[in-house]
Amino acid sequence: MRTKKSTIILAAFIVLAIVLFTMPFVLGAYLLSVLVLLLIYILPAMSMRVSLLAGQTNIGVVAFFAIGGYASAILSLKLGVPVLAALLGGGLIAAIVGLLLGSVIMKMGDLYFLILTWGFLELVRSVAIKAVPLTNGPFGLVNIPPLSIGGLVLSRVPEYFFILFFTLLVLVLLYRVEYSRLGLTWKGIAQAPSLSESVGVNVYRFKLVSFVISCFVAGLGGALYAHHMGVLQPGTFTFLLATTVIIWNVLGGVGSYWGPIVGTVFLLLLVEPLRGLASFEMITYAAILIAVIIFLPGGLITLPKRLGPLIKRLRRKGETAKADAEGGGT
Amino acid sequence: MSGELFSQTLLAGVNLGAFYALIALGFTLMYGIMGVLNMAHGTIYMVGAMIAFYIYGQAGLSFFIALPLAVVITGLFGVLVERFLIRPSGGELLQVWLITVALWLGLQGVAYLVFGFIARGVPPPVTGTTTILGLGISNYRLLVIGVAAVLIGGVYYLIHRTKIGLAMRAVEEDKVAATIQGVNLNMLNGFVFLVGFALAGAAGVLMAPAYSISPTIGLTPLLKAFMIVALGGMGSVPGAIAGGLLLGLADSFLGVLFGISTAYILTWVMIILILIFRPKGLMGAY
Amino acid sequence: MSLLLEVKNISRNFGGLAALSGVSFDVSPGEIVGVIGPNGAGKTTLFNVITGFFPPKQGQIIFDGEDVTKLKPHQISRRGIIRTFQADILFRSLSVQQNVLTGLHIRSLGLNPKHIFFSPSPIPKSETGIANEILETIGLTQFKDYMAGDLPHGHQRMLGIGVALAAEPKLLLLDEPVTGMNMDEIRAVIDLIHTLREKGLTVLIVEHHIKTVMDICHRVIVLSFGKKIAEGSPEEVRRNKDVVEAYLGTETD
Repeated sequence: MRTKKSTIILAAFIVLAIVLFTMPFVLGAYLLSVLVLLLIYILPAMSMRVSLLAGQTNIGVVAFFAIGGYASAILSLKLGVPVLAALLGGGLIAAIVGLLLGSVIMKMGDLYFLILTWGFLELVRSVAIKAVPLTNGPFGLVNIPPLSIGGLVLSRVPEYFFILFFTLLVLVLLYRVEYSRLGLTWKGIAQAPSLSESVGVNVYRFKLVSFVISCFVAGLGGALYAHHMGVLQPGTFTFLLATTVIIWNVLGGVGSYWGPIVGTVFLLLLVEPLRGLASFEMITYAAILIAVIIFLPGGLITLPKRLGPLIKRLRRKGETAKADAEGGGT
Repeated sequence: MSGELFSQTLLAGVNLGAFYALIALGFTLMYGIMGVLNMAHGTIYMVGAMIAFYIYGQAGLSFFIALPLAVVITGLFGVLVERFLIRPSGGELLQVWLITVALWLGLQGVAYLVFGFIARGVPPPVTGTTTILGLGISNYRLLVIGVAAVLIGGVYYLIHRTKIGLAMRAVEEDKVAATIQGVNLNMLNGFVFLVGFALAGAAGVLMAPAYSISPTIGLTPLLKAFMIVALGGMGSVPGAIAGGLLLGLADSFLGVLFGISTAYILTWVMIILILIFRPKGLMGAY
Repeated sequence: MSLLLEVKNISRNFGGLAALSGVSFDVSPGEIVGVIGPNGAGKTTLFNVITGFFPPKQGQIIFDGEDVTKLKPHQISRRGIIRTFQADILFRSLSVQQNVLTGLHIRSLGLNPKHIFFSPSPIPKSETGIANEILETIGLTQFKDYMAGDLPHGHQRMLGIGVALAAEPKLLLLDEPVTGMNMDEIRAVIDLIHTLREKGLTVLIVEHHIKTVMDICHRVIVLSFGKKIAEGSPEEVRRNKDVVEAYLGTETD
């Protein structure tokens, strides 16, 4: 059974890799940009997971997404920094702001932490609207330089591959972190902070590190977003978007590294065909959410585990039915 | 600031405060007693406003029929939501929270279908002004403050002078001990949802004439509810009332002085500062 | 021979109640000292004060010559005082092996970014090896990959001891380790402590189970209503009139 499962997973990965590599040549411009956005959004989704691992809900992930985007855009647009360096700069600035904010609000307890990171999001959006000389106010920044390597602007297909590899790189690094002692320490802190303290873990410091890394990854995602879209408006970074990022995590499953990825992909792909009909979009979204929560409490990622026994039961029923049919008449 | 402007801003602040307190009260009860962070709270307010629109605005029935009707409808809706959405979801905080998000989205989607996207309004149920102590107060404003005060007083009486209020307070302190004492949690939870939703619905009807009505008007009350319970202390009833008043006054005065968008930033800064110095909120011990 | 732990005149209040009043005693290296007393005597509060979870209103804790009274729990752990908990506190959603692994935190090299990103296995093999050894010592090897929360109660408490051992304590504080265990499990804990005693570990143990205390302790301290009412060898304490009075009707065997 074990080898069968790993072969299936390996096969799935290979198929996925083939799909991801051939998509840009198969899809039209619009659909490709949808895929690109999906890849970009995986970053804030995973950044939220990083903070959830340590037991904190960083609703403000979208605030750092915005900070990373604006920072990178301003660095490249107004200060002429090369785009790749600006990307990194966006992430770093988001991390530094996160460090400052985190050290202030982290001691207040998890619930207030949640509310205040959200308040911070409101603050960031309001500042983006008001600070016209820097951010061009409500109309936003336009003509943000597109992604380019060494001065060579990346056109549609190369841009896709850049974003694909960038996201994959971040995902691999986050995977290593989650399964390292750092990730283990975070998981311990989330479940039993006093036990962690008793074996020498500085809980405050580790939570802060988780928060800062979360802000860094969100900032990178925001920077990618800014350079891909070319425009950046404060109105994008709403409370609804922040809630959506949490939904991606919870729906996909908070118990697994793959949860946020599954959640993000599933929901974004779901929402796409409904894009024009706001009312139906919301109702369908709501219905699916409710269905998954009630029937798959561990998130979408637990679906294979749930299906397993169900399939076995159906197979057994089929076999008994067959046996009855064959043995009938005795 | 001139005396006239000051007193009008003060009155507007009290008006806002009453509205905010109504919203925050239901919200904090649901959190304090059941641990539910009700993301759909603003949408229930919107539903109340919609009920006012259809029953009072369109069908022409008296505002004073629309109000109790909305309270009953939203209250019953709350009981149904608790029974058929919250309870089956398993009780894990994050899951329940997500269900309330789904409720928010679903209700808003339905509102888009039924009501449409374009905002409309209803006229105030009473016009004219009354002069009290030399101050001219609009009658509508008096009505809002009066009804809110009655409702808040009613909830206070409920919590502190009735058996079910005792059960609510017991569960808030120690759920296990309360169940051992014989509190039927399922019924209590249904009741908490009834009260919470009814308060939000009442606020929706009361404030319908003051603002435009559309499916998205629920977001701001939700935001305010969060801010108020952070300010006043999560789960604290006096905190919700005091916090609501404080935020209402702050919004009013800061809004007049600096404009609404700057006032919004300033109120968040105010909350962050208060939480830094009083980490459990103004009155919270929870 | 210098003292490992000096508890000097510790007092701690909760509201109006004096949980601890002027408690003083010493622990020498290699000793196994028991702390007993009827319920509410302040035993766990004593542990909480020693390990930095609560600050004392008054008094000092000196460990290995250093005043550690005002240090935070993780700082005290780093100096070698490791405790277990009276309640079943474990990392329930982590495996048994992972639980023990967390105990290796202080001496772990795995937090080095170089190691996180560039070594072949995210958690150093050496550390996994040490964790497995400890699992052997506490007899839970066969449960290595079980979720800690799925273990029966007795094994959970044993696991708690294993986590503490992983942190290489100089002074091990056991808070009611055998509560809820059956006779075989209690035997296993007593044997474990005997083994640890031979290795020179110093142990301070709070226990209700008098037989266990008599069996393993060199010295016993008796608390009642926050005050120390007796101190001495297990036999001396057993015969002490005040102790018998304090325990009247509540002696557990």
